Amino acid sequence: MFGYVLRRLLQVIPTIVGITLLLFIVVRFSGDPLAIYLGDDDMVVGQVGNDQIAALRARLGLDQPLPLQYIYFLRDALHGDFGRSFIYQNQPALPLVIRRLPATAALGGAALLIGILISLPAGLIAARFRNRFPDTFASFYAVVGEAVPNFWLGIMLILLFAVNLRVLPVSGSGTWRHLVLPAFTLGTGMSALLMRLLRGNLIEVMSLDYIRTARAKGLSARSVLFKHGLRNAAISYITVLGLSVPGLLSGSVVTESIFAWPGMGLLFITAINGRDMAVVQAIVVFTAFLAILGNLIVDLVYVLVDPRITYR
Amino acid sequence: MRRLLILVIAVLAWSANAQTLTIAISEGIPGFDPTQTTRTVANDVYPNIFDGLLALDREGQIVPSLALSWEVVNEKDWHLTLRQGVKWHDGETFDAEDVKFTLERLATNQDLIRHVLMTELESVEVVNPYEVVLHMANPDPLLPVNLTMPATAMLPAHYFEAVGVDKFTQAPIGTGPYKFTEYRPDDRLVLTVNEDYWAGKAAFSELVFRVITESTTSVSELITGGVAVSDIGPNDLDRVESSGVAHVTTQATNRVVHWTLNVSEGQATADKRVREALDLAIDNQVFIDVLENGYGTPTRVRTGPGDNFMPTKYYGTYNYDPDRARELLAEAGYGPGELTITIMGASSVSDRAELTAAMLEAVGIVPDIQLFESSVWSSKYWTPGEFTNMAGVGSSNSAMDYGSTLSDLQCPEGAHSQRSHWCNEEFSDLVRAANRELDTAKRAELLDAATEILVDELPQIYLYNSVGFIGVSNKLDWSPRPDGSLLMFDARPAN
Repeated sequence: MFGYVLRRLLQVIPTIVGITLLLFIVVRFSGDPLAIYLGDDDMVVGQVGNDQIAALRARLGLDQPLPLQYIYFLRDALHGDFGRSFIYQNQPALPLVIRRLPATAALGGAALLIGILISLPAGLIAARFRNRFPDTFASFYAVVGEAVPNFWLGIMLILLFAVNLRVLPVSGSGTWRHLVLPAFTLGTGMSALLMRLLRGNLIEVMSLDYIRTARAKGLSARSVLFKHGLRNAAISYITVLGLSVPGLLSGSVVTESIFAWPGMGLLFITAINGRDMAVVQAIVVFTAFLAILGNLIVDLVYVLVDPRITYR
Repeated sequence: MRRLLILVIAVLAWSANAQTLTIAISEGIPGFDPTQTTRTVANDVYPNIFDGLLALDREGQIVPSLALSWEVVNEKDWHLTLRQGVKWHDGETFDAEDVKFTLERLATNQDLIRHVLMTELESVEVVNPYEVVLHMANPDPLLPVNLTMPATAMLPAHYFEAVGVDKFTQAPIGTGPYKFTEYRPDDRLVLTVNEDYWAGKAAFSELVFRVITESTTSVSELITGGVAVSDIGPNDLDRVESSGVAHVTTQATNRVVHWTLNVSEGQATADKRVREALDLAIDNQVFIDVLENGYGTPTRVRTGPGDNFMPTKYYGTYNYDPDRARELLAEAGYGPGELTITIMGASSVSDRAELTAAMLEAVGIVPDIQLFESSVWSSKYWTPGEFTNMAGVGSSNSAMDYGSTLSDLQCPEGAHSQRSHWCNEEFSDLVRAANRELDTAKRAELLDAATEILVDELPQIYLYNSVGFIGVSNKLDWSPRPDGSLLMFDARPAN
């Protein structure tokens, strides 16, 4: 088990290096980062001199050959230095990213909780009452929940609960009341997916021989469902849950924008639009690291759920 | 007793609320060194914290701020008398050393994004603590207007040197009507009233700028009382007007939406007759009616209200004559369907591009629309040779000066001149001379002569001067300023 974890952790290194290389190439070839200083459609002229652009290029190391730029980037990144933001007045990139983490984690955690709280009972009930009213209702919810785009749901929730009923704040952060609407917006889609997954797996598992055996030996329906059914159906549920964690922690651009939630998603979109390479790189590497970590944790949780799985 | 206590708490809570003014801004503040950003929102917010030597009033006139007077001693030297008794937010006194520090830093440090504003400054001579002489390399009629801009606002030499630039950008002090208290990135900026402000104490004890990127959300905040001021998109005007709690105000800007034409050899748009035909084929008013709900002014020059030296002759008019356009195309050798014109821009200009395409088709031109994601487009536009015929651009000029606007088309160094490849020496000489001319009457003459060349040559086709919409709570007595600044010193609770 320990050897397995160590091996998996070592695998992180080539993965991260591969990601940084790909990222570096994509970012550099998506256009000249300094063009943003000169503006696009909506520009204020006469603010930056042309000769100044050359000086800035040299300061940011953009006048160096690409392979050299990459080596410098990798060397500095190993020291936790992803460069300095040129939108955020030369501030170091990684602390900018990390400062956004608590807000994003709070929103992601709440959304995950809502996703589980809705999907778990709904999935169980739908599977238990297969093809009857609760199942039809839950399936309808699953289809709608997955089909409705976040931005629309968010705006509708604001109009209903904040503008018309005035029971919750429109946007912002700071109290639990601010968290409710964005967490529901983000959690609804997730609960729909999880619910459908759980229902399908449960129905499949409940028709297997060992369940019939369990029933035959006189176990109560509840015991069969929870102890034998749910545990076996939960593998893919946990996998999807685990895989969605890094996504939640890297922030939801749409939900954060609509609810003015000061998380990583907002920072990411500002950085991309502003070609703030240092910040984009810091966010992607940070997210990739979380994703790898998330996968590892999911793999380890399998052992707890399914005793047949062992790691060597 | 308990009831009384509750009543007292309620009154206290109400009065605390009444003294906080909350404003929605569409993006975060990148940092608080005003010399290091070109972001419009940050520049709109800075005047609450920092004062310039000079300021623009609501009519766009230059008025004293930290400098009481400014006069040209000889052609290149400016004598400024400073206001006495002004305190920095930490209680230290503002004086001539701060002026020297701020302006010489901007003039000598090329790394500062707004360095371009002080390139003409050679040195600042401190005569005594309240008098300075600015020694310029050349006569500079733009100096006073440059000294009104947030980027040249006064910075505290003592504090800057004590804490360094990194600390300063995160916890600044200035001399402005509000003091910096806290900035939570992409969430809110909290400012507290400066009790000792030299022009008197502002009405609100706390000023909060909330970052709300989504305009639908900030409008919802406005109509539920969450914020008192917010930008509004043309689609939300009715929603605000019918809310009964806020109203829509229009804000004049000097932003002009236009097409830049590539006039380099080999392009169809190198032919002046083709450029003229494009101009005549385009009905400017349609853009205002369709895209801006009828708000805006057609124009043949790149200027707007509040700009100094604005050529009023060509403002509010436009050329539209599709028949004459067809004739010109025929003269240039293009029959119907024989000329293809590329219309390029960021995806945000798609409506403008499609309207233009339809108008060009109507005179027998084959339009070819090519739109790009905005950051891809910005590098395409600024890389010479990447755009062929027409490029969609909207420009404003924070200097509020028409001469400064035109310098952009000056050849060879003007940024737009490098994109359109339009190089008219007579025009460039006139603009150069105007921007060295201190006599206002002579300067106006030079700029008018340059405008005539521009209107005739058409390296750019100007469509309209756009208007901004700002929603203001009915509980607030404040109206937008022509320079777009969100200075809240004169904001009051409405009666």
